[in-house]
Amino acid sequence: MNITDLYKGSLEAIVLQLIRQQGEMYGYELTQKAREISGGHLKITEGTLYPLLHKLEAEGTLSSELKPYGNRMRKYYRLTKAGVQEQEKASVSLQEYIGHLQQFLNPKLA
Amino acid sequence: MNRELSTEEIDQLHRFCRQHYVTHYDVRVELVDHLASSIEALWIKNSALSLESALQQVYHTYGATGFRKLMREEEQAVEKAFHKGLGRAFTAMFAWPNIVLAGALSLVCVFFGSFYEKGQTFVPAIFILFFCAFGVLLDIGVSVLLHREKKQLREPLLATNTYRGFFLIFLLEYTMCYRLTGYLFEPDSLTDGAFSRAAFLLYSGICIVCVLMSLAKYRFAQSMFEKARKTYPLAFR
Repeated sequence: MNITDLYKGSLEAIVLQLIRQQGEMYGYELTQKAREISGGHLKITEGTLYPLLHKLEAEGTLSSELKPYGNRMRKYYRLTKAGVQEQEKASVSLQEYIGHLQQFLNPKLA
Repeated sequence: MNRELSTEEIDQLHRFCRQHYVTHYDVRVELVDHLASSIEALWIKNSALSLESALQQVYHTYGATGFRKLMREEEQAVEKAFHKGLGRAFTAMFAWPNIVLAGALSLVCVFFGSFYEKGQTFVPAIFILFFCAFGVLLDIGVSVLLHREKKQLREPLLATNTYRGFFLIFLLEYTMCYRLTGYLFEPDSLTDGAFSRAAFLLYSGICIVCVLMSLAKYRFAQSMFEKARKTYPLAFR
């Protein structure tokens, strides 16, 4: 099984976690950071990332700001107040999920 | 010092995206930054690489369909966000001042309903005309607002390109009204007493919901453009 497939369901939680850690991030930075932390396993494509960011923005989880960077414009995303709560919930759910997975992998610990 | 893209090269990337069907400014501005960042990362390894070669290398990573998958995903995400946003605008209509207004309208309905006798058609007719006229006026308001805001756009935005969604809701509202109107004026339903006062009140309720939907559309359209103007000021005149 491809490891990237395993990341798919957790992508939203990962993106929110990264943005919270960094304060604000732009699309390319998110893809690179995710790749760096996962040791190259998590390759977020633009076709997945930007629709997700725009969905979270429309839901009020993220806010964005377009700022000039060099000769171009760059869109930075940050968590809103509701986004911080959403990120905390997502983080708890993710940890519970990892705990359940470990019980499947090491049934003796359960 | 790391090589960075010049203004002319950024314009070239914008042209490249437009040629590959990424015409909406809100999608393109992020894609151009993404492409530029990827190209600059390639230049760190090989600064002698031409922009064209670097761009082709980066574009190649998007696969055989190029930016089409990205655009499709973006369109779906925007459509979903549109429906959710409109749903939220609709539920927000059920705030205290609106509940009081809806209550007052219901009392007017009950008042009109008290004059209603079986077989009469003029009371329901006044009702239908009143609500339909109000709903149509609001929808004209939405169309005027969208048209005016669209004229202010220097570049098209995907986030505000939601006319189809508004039109579908318009159809839903007026199909509902039309069907009920047909039932109301069906001679058999009146003579057989099938159209009762309860049905009259039910019809009034549906009309009020339709008017609230039209009001929600108007407010949502306003907030959609306000947000777009704030996020993408360069896309507006």
